[in-house]
Formats: sequence, C-alpha cells, structure tokens
Amino acid sequence: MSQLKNLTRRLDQLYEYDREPVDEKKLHGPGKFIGLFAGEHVAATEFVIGPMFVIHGVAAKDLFWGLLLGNLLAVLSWAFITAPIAVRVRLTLYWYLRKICGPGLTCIYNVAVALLYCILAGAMISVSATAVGLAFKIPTPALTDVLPNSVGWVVITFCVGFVVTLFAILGFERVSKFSQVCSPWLFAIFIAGALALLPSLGEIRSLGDFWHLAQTKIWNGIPTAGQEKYTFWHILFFAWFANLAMHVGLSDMALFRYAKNWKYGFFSAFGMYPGHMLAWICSGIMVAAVAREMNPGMMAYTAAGFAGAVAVVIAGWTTSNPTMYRAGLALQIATPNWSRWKVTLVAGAVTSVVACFPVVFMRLLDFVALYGLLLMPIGAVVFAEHWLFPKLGLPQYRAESQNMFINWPAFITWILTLVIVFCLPIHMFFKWLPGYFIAQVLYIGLSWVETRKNFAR
Amino acid sequence: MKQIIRRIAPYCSILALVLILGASIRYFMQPVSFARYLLYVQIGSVLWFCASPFWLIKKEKQ
Repeated sequence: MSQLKNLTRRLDQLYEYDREPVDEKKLHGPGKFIGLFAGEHVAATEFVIGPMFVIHGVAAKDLFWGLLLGNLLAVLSWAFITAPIAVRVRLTLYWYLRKICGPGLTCIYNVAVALLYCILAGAMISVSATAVGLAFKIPTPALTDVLPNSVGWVVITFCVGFVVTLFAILGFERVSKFSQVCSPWLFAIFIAGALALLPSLGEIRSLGDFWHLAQTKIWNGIPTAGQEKYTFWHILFFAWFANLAMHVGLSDMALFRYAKNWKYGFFSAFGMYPGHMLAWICSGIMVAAVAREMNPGMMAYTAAGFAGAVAVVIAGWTTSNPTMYRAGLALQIATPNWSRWKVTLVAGAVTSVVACFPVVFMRLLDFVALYGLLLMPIGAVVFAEHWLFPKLGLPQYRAESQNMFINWPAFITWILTLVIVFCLPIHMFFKWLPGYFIAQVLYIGLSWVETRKNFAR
Repeated sequence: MKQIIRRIAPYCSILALVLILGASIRYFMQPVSFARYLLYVQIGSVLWFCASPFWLIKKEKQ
C-alpha cells in the first residue's frame, strides 16, 4: 500500500500542470475541435477495420446503415456524456477521477490504461510492418495466426518498433506535429486507393452499378472461411464503441475542458464520418480488390503504389507514437527515478514484443471491444457521481472530502461489472451497453450502503 | 524568401491533394493508365510533404 501511495504521489507530480480547471481565457473555438477530430480519426487502424468487415461477411446495406447510425450514436455520446461533464468541471479525467475514486484507484486505472495503450501501439507497429515487409518479401501472418509465422516477421516488427521508439525518444512533439501534417494526405490516399481499385472489381457507369458491385463483390454477406458473420448490429455497435474509452469512458474530458460549451461535442462528427465511415468503406473496397487478403501493406501498395505503402508505414508510426508516449507517461511513475528516454525505451520494448504476435492486429476488432469494455465501468462511475448523486441525495466527491485513498464502492463496481459482463451470454461487441447500466446501479447501490453505514457510525 | 514560401505553401498543398484525388478520379473514369495514375499520386505525395509543414505546423505553433 505504501508503494502504491508513493506511485500516486509521483503520478500527481507528472500531471501537476493540468491540476487546475481550465481558465476561461484559454478556451478554444470550433475550428480547433474540428481539426483535432478530423486529424485524429484517420489512422492505421482504418487500414485494418474496414477490411475486417469485408472478411466477416457484412452485407452492404448492413454496413452503410450500421456505420451511419453507429457513428451518430458515438457523436451523441460525445455531445451528451463527455462534453457536458468536461465543460462543467473543466478538468482532465485524471483529476476528476481523483476527486471521485481517490488517488489509489486513479493510479490503478492509469496503469491499466498504459498496458492497453502498449497493446494498441503494438497493433499499429504490426500494421506498419506489413508494408515494410513488402520490400523484403516477408510473408504476412495469416488471419488465424496467433504466434509469429517467421523469423523475418519478428525481425521486421522489432526493426519498426525500434525506429518508432527511437523517434519517440528523440522528439515526441515533432512526431505529433508531423502526424497532423499527414492526416489530410492519408485521407486522400484512402479515397484515391479505393477509386483506383474499384474498376478491377467490375464496370461502374452509375450509382446503381456501384451498389450492385458493393452487394456482390465487396460486402456480399459471405464471411471468409473460419470467420464469424457480422450483421447490422455488429457494425452499429462497433462504430459506437470504437472510441468508447474516449466518449463513454470520458478520456476526452482532457479535450473538451477547453470547449466553450457542451455543444462542441457534436464536432466529433468531423472525425467520425470521414474517418470511421468513409475510410472504413474505402479500405473495405481495397481489400475486396486484393482477393480479401488481410495484408494492409500489400493492399495499399496495390492501390496507390509506393505512396500507399508509405501511407501504411506513416499511419502506423504516427498512431503508435503518441500511444507509446502516453504508455511511457504512466510507466514513468512506476520506475525509480528513470529518465524519460529510459521509460520510453521500456514502453517501446514491450510494444515491440506485443507487435510480434499477429493476433493483436488480426483480432483488432475484438481488442478494441475489450479495450472499451475494461475502461467503461469507470466512465459509468463518474457519470453516476456527477449527475445522479445530487438527484438521489447522495454526497458527491467523498473520496476527496474524506481523504480516501481508494473509493471501495467504485473499485468493487469496476471489478464486479467486468465479472458480470464477461458472464453475460452475448457477443463481446454488445456487452458494454448492459454493463454501463449495471455499473451505474452497482455504484449507486454500494455508495448508498456506504453512506448509510457512515451515517449510522 | 521564407515569407514567399509560406505564402504559396497552402496552395501547393491544395494542388497536391487535387493531383492525388484528380488522378484517381481520372483513372476511375479510364482516360489515364494505372501507371500514369501512380505517377501523379507519387508527385502529389512529394508535393504535399514539401509544402504542408510550412503552414500546417506554423499554424499549430500560433
């Protein structure tokens, strides 16, 4: 426990600069939010997610309606869940969580996030490795592979991981700026690649021809052998929870605390529809044109030549870089006075090892679902404490006022919710929604019992 | 000189995107060959990375 207290103290020091609520003078206008969302949601994952929908045999109508409505639900989640809380408290999730859950639980949450970030960054490195591997004729692992399929694959992922880590050590800020420069170009490559490969699937003279082609050659409703079939509901839920940790999980409080009002949450549509709809559709078209072979590097090279392969490498690099940096930040508190470069090196090494295992990017959809699911209960706890506690007459911010190290009702809610949702006999993609309400009921119930106990004392 | 580059850089970036997207649309409509399309995409990409840092990164600093 004393070790955890020490870690917590160091974590506080690390985030010291954003401890105070954002000043009114520092609020940003709509342009900043539109730019941030538009730039953030065209990334390496888009080269994997769109093709996965094709491989899982989604029908064209299900895909279009699922993406349209799922992304709408994601935008509404940002607008009605994340932004209102962020605008009222103007704190990052870290500091708000500290008031609600206590420093101990905040620290545990932070480490969990760091580990999940390492896996996510690993998947991005794997995606980049598929493009680098093209130059050396190294075979990409198969869809069902869990372990590395060749020494060459291990060497390539380690090399890519090393370069990414090196750049993260040399200058995270510069790479972040470079990634902003890349986003519009990446988006153009997605569209150009899809347009260029469409004629290879069949002749298109009208929108009707495209729709016929989409239904028969791209999203024909037949999954690749050994893959589960996805329906409209799978797509709708996936589009909704793809950024669950950010909206329902409230991580984007860090962003929206700078918003002038809660309506800025609607600007997330500028990231969702181009990135999580158009880019997924484009990469789906590309994979259908390369005989449904799950190899992002080869797919982009076929569609846009050398620029396509570079796009995959850059997309993987620019996505894994900030992810690795955030993981490094969380790891920094757990290391005895290590300098930043050492911590980033460790995070890079962990990420590179993860990247060797093709299962992380071949089962990216499941990982994205798991990532959101694991962090969702904390979002539910914060939501309940912020909005429901005052209405139910329960005291808010007891962890802060009573100087609690760990808010046990919140911790039990987190663990118990995860146990319950994993036992629910429904698909992984659908578990989070009942889980969100279970977490709120559990937290309110447990907090009520705790309050009564304290009152009786 | 820097001022001039900064002033024309946004136009070059737009030109780069137009080149990439225009080439793909033209290939889709079949008036150009795949090799010509690829050439335009490479030129557009190089132009984008030469021009956009001058105005996109500067804007971020402000």
